[in-house]
Order: sequence, then structure tokens, then C-alpha cells
Amino acid sequence: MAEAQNYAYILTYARTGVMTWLAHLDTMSCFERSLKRAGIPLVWSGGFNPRPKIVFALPIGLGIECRADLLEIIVSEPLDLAEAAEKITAALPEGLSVLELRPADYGNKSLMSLVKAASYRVEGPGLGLAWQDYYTKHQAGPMLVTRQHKGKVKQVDLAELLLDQEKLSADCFRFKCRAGSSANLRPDLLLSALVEHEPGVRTAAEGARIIRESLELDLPQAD
Amino acid sequence: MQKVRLDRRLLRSVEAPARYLGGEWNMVKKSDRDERGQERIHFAFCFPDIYEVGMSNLALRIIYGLLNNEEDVYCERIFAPAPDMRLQMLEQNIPLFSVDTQRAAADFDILGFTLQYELSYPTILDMLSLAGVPIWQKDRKESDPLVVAGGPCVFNSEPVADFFDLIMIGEGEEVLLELMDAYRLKQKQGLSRQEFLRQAAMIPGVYVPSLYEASYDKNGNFISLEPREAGIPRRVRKRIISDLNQAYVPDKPLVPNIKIVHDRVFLELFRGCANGCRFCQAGMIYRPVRERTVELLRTQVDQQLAASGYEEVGLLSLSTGDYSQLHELCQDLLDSYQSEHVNLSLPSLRLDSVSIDLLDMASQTRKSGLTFAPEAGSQQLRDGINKNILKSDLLQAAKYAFELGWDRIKLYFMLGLPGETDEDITAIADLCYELVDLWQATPHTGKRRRLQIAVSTSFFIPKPWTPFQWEGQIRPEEMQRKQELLAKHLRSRFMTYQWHDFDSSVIEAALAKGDRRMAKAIYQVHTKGAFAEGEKRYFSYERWLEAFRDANIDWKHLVFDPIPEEAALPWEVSDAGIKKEFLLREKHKSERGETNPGCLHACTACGAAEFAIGICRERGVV
Repeated sequence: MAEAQNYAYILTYARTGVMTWLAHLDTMSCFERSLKRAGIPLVWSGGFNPRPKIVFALPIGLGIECRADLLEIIVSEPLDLAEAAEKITAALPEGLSVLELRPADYGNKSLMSLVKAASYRVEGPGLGLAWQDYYTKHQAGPMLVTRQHKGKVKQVDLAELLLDQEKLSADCFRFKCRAGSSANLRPDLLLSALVEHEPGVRTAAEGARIIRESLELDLPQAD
Repeated sequence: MQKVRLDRRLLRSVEAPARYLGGEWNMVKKSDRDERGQERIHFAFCFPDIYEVGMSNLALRIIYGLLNNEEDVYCERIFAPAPDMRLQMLEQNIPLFSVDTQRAAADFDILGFTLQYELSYPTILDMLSLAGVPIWQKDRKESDPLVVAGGPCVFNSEPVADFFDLIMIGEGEEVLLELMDAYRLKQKQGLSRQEFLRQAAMIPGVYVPSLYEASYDKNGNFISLEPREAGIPRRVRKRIISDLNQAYVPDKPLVPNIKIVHDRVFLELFRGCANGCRFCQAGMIYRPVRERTVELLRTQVDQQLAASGYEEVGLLSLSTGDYSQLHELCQDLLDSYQSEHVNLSLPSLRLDSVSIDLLDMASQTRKSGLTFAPEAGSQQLRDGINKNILKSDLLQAAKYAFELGWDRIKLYFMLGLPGETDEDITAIADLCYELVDLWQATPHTGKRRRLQIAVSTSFFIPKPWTPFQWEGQIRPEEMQRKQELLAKHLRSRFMTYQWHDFDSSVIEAALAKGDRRMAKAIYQVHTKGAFAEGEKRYFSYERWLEAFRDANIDWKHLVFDPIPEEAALPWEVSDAGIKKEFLLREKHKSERGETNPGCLHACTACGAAEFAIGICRERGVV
């Protein structure tokens, strides 16, 4: 008997409002239940703890909004893209929305392994100016910041992870950085470097609006 | 309306900020005014514990849906803030607020608290304080919300009676709607709080504490609680739903955004319990037993799963093993839903092979632990408390479970039960060793994990409306001695032993049997900083003892001394529908070691037959 065929789709989604304040695992759970409510025929993994096959391209931290994050779903039947997108949208809680639903176009690779960069936007009083000052002073040399990880203290060089940056206004800047399984810059680390450089922006940094605007994938070359 | 703004900085500084933000799937959103332009009645269900605990509560789900079905009522939810948020709220002057719209608690028309467990009383006061609402009922102005209560502890609400405008006794589905009617009239007629409360006192099941006066004798013993006015009932009889098949059931369950304690669809199979265990208050106050039909439950589960996307269904009742059509229901649910990856959670099962079969069906690939509550180690003591389980039944069920591959068992017992001897305590250990022997003798192929038996004990607390309500609790020194005796006998690599604190058990006992004078002590621990007495980390025994002393409460007499059988009891004002004569008969039977087989087998004339519904009618008693 032939094995059942499965189909992979990429969902581009945005989160804002209350949904911003979910940790990654809770976001996953939320999508699982929403997709179930939408009647999407998800395929489940086998084994000891079966779970629906949903993979997020890159975890998103609690308190960070996103404009175009990606997740992959594996389903047992081909989907009518427009109808499925509509059903999913209707089943998502307020704050989550579907921007696009398309077939996965990267063969057998895992979505997570394809992520290479992410673009962020940061808003808060004086943060644009503070960033410009910090970057101007450090762009030549290393941009060291202290990081606590599993009880150990490490020095991280942000310059190695930063790909692009720009001050947009006195209160706003954006940056593009390496992201994914091999190298990843978390925006809160960048903000702590800023605060280390200029303690006066601590309050603004703690209350900053942080938005992940897009993800960049390292897709296999089209023939 | 006052809306609290939670800025990003605050949300980042606390754990699980989603606790405070609402936005759940199926959350109800209503504007302040209804279609006719009338201001809605703003009701807040106030749960005196954090979000994760409150959202797991069945009553909250029911009442939230029930009240929001009323066009002119908007029911929101208020939970106790976690300690980190609470600190921020105090520092930044942020008042208590609802999670649905962050509306300030003081801005609601009615704050409805649930009295879940005695140690939560200081949390209630803390929430009122955070809300800026006067804690004592007598201090509230016309502009303050009405503060009402319901829940299991209403069957002795005397310790907190002076904090509430009114208390609803029994099941809330009907009485709450009648209260809304009365409230609508209040608004229409512009009644004052006092006038409204007098009207509300006429609703069956509504107890208005301010309309009663307590009196005590020269030794400080409670004598009576008398209505201050004519027309106010001497006792308030509980409300119960006659036909659960007609009662409101939430069809669109709230789906939380974060993990909560009981994260699943709830199916309430029946109310009440037919077993008649003598220590158990729930088994008495929810009589008579009333079941839902299998057909109705099936419809409910289909509806709720489709509306929620939940991956688990929990069957709820006081004793699920007693549901008359349990096997049929479970088989039905498993046939329909197992392939869709919906799990079945079956708590409160009996210790027999039938239950093991059901658990085996429901457990799929993974077997979690089996949990049973024998409560007492020896047959003699089990007879005394009317927990009708034979050791042979338990061992047979365990043998069957071991054969099916179970190797994790949790056993609940109580220490300090009336008539307990040291032999009864060591019998717990004997039982555990017999289980180990049984497991070792179970044939198996290949490797297997070592059996783990987790023994958990709590200390018996005499509760109102039970045959043991006249008993005294054992002293803390005795608690320690008994706990150490058991620990000594449970030293085995197959067993672990956890026991409940002595101190909090004593305070729980004091609050369970207290009268109106207890309010002063509860208020004092609140002013001295108590806000989460249910948490070991925040509980302070000394603070309570000091408060009892300052309020002139002879707490040792209250907790440790038995009550004379002819004494007046402060909680009789909330009538659970159970006759005192029945409770006394059961008390005496217990002393003689006699059991009663439970309602399913023989009526013991407890008084619940007067409601003329449920199991009493089915068994032909009425």
C-alpha cells in the first residue's frame, strides 16, 4: 500500500496586541488550537508524545511583535489556499493574523535551518539618537556586551552579528542581524549594549516597542 | 470608566504577563451600553488566586458564560495578581483590574467572590484593598460596588460574613439570575444599598449577613444568629439545580493563552456523591446526586471541542466511578476522539478493575500514574469514616494495573481521623508493602522501571455539615508524632512520603469552624501583610496566633476541643438541606464502627429527599 502523501505549506503571520506577550511555547500552543478550530487536516508526529507537525522558522521572544514571521505546517490533504487562509484567520485570537499561505518551496530542508537573518525595528524616547551615538562610536572596533547564559558570563561581539542598521528618527532605529540556528542576535541583547553605553536610556529601553519586521531565508537557488 | 494601562515596561518586569491581558479565544467583549443605550450591569467574577488556578475552576466557566448570555450584563474576570505584579501595583498605585478589559475593580457594579478554601480569605481582603473598595460591609458607600460571595465555603461563611453585602448559598445558576433581576429593579427604582439588600434577602438562597445579629454566652460560646427584622428567614436554605440536563452549560469555553492547571474541556457528569464518607463536606452539601444523560454529555463535548480546539477532555464529578453510564460514555468518547488526538482525563475514579480498564483505554501510549484515596490504612478506620473500600479490592485492582504495566501509584491518606490508633497508621505502611510484594510477583518480560508508590497525607480537619463536625482536631504535637511514626515505617526504595504542614492545617481548622468574631482576626492578618496564605512561602502561623489573641479568640478551644452535641452551631444559618439528626446518627455509628452503604444501596434519611429530585426520586425514596 502506498504511503499517504503529506503536503507542506508556509504560513506568514503577524502578531501584535495581547499576543505579543506570549512566550514561544504558548504561541505554538495557540497556533495548534487555532489550526484545529479551523479544521486544517494537520499531520501528527508518532511516538511517545504525538504533536501536530507545525514548525516555527525562528522563536520569537516574549514582548516582541512581528510583521511577517513564518511557520510551516504539514497536512494530509492539499489545501485551497484562499479558503484555508480565510478559515485560519477566522480561528485566530485577536492579535494574530495570516498574511499569506503558500506551498513550501524548499524541498526536504527544515524551515528552521534556512533562516539566516532577521530585521527589527525599535521604538522608544531617544532610542534612535542613542543608537546612532553608540554605533558611531563602536562601528570600527568590537561591540562587546556582557551576556549571562546558563550561569556563565560571556562577552559577545555584536559587530559579528550585525548586518545592517539605520537610525530612522530620534526615537526609532532599525537593524538587520544574523538569525537562526548557527548564529543569532537577540534584540534585547542589543538593547542592553545600548543601555551599558548610555544608562540614561534604560527606562526607554525597558519600555521599547520591538518589532521583528521580516525574516530572511537562505533558499536553494531556483533552476 | 477607569481603565488601567499596563505599559510595556511593567509587562516585561513580571512573570507571565499574559495573566493580566485577557484576549483569550471566546472571551466576550461588550460595550458599556447595550443596544437600547442602557448602561450594562458590570459584574466581575473575582477568584482569590492567580490566573492559572482561577481559570481551571468550573464555576468560573459556568458563571462567565451564564451571565454574559444576559444582554444587559457584562461579566468580566478578576484574579489575584501574582506576588511580583502585586508589588508593582502597590508601588505604582495601580488598582486591581479585570483581565478582560483592564477595567478597575472599583468601577464594577458587583464584585462576585468565590469562597474556595479558608486560607484564601486574606487574599479576598487583599484584593478589596488593592481595588480601593472598603473591606468591611458596613463601611461601603452607595458608590462602592456590591460585594457578594458564593462557592463551597458558604456553608460556613460566618468568619467572612461581615465583609460581604450578600452571600449565595448553594448552586449559583438560578439564584444569580434572580439576583440580576433584583439588581435591575434596584437601578430602575433608585434603591439604596440597604433597601436593595432587604429585597435581595427575600430571594431563596440569598443570605444577607448584616440583617442578622450574633449572640454568645458568658463563656464566649456561640448561642444564636437572629434576624434583626421581621420577614428575614432564620435559616437560608441552599439552592440546587433540579434538572442538570436543563441547566446552563458553557458551550464556548474560554481558551487560555498560557498553560493553566487544568487545561481542558470539562464535562460535569453529575453533582453530589452517594457514598457518604463521614469526613467529606462536599459529599454532604451537594446532595442529592443528580446526573446528566450520556446523550447530553456527548452533545456538549462535541460542541465544546469544536468551539475551542482543546486537546483534552476531563470528566468531572465527586466520584466519577459512580457515574451510572461511565463505561458507555468513555467508550463513546474514545471511539470518536482518540484518532483525533483528544485525550481523556479521568480523575476521581474508584479502586476497581473496571476503572483500571477505563484508564488503560484512555492512556494510549503513555501511562501516567494511578491515583487513589483510601484515606485510612486499616479496615477498622475505613469503616469508622465510612470509606467503603475493602483491602482485597484495592489489591486486586493494583494487581491488574501492574499486569497492564502501571508502575506509578499515588495514595492519599488522612492522619488524625477520629478514633485513629497507631495500628491504623502503621497499616498504611503494611498496605504499601503488600503492593510492593504484588508488583514484584507480577510476571513481566524484559526490563521494567522500579515501582514507585507516592504516599501523601494531610491532617484531618473537622468540617461543618459533616458527621465529624463536632470533633476536635488533633494537636500539632500529635500530628508530628503520627507523621514521624508513618515516615519511620515507609523507609523503602519503592516509596516516597509527602505530608501536609501542621501549622496551616491548624489555621484551616480554626477558620472552618469559626463564627462572626473570626472576621477581626482575618482583618488583622491582612493588615499585617497576609495575602497568599495558601502558599507555604507566604503563610505565617505566628501572625494568625497573634491575631487570634488580639481578637480574644480562644483558638485552642475552637480547634482542639470537641463541640457538645447539643450546642448551637454558627453555620446552621446556611442550610445544606441535611438534618442534624442524620449527622448525629452517622457520628454515633462511626463510634460503633458501623458503616452505611451509600444512597445507591440504602437511604439513610439524611434530609436531602425533601428536595424531591435526583437519586432520591430515582430510588423511590420520594
